[in-house]
Amino acid sequence: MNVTIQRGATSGVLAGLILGLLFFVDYGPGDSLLKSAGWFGLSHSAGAKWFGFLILIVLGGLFGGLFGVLQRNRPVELGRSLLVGLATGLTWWLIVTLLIGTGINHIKLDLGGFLYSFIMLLLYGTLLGSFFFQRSTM
Amino acid sequence: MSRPSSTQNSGTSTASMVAQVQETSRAPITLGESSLLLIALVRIFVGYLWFQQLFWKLPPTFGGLHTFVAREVGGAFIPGYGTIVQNVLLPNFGLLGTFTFIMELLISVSLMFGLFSRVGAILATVMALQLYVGLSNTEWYWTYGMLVLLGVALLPLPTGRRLGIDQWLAPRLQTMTSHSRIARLLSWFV
Repeated sequence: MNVTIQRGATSGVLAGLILGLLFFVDYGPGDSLLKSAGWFGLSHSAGAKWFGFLILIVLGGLFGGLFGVLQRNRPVELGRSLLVGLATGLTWWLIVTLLIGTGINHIKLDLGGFLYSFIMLLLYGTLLGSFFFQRSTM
Repeated sequence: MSRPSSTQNSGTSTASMVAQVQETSRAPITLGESSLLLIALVRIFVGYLWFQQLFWKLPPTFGGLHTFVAREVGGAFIPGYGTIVQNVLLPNFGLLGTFTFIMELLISVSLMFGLFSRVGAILATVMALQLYVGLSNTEWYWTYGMLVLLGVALLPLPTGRRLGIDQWLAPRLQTMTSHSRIARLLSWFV
């Protein structure tokens, strides 16, 4: 596998792991993890919180790989890494939260639902771009 | 009478050692990469703490905020503060709710994304101080004290320069400081 794609995927896993930890720090604990499980209609299944945690890491890695593809054969620059990272987070939100979660699994996207998923996935994008830059330049 | 040269040498070396120790103890501290990453993570989690508190005070009703503002009427430890809350803030609750929501959203975005992270730390400290004055008597005293200290702890550190947008902003603002007063001001906040 191309080293840039590999670096993107591992940066994505790291960003997804931090997202999972943030989703865990909640009343419950980990009630927010039900939101990520809910994107695939699994918020009521046994072990839904674990599934929600796993989804964030797996999707983090997958979208990180996609980020790596977009960064391939280009010089590593922090500005571009952050921008492409934010675009990757936005893509995750559009495909998984909006299309699959709301469109297919009928999750209600009110102001709270929108704010939570949108900001958190943009944060994923920032972390992804940042980790990728750190790992490429260190 | 002169002292033996070995005693003189020993005196000189002790003095230079003391001077060296003093100089070293005053030298600026440079944080290592792992320390910078750790404080960046702390910044993100503190930002998330504020972010989570938005969801029980969402517009247009601002949910549970009214209960806490009303509690400040009897709970504030500064004389007259409760009267201001009762006669000025509660009658204009819509405005207060909007202001609180926007401030906390700004704190969250600033700290989570490392975007002018010192602005986020200042706003977090001010908001937490208000909670400390109004509510610390009504709950475990240190709850809001710790919230104040979390904001203060993030204030002197450039926490957004790792895992944050400030890492991109800081050098650009720095190069503009010589010919732009705004850049000079903004560069303090990254």
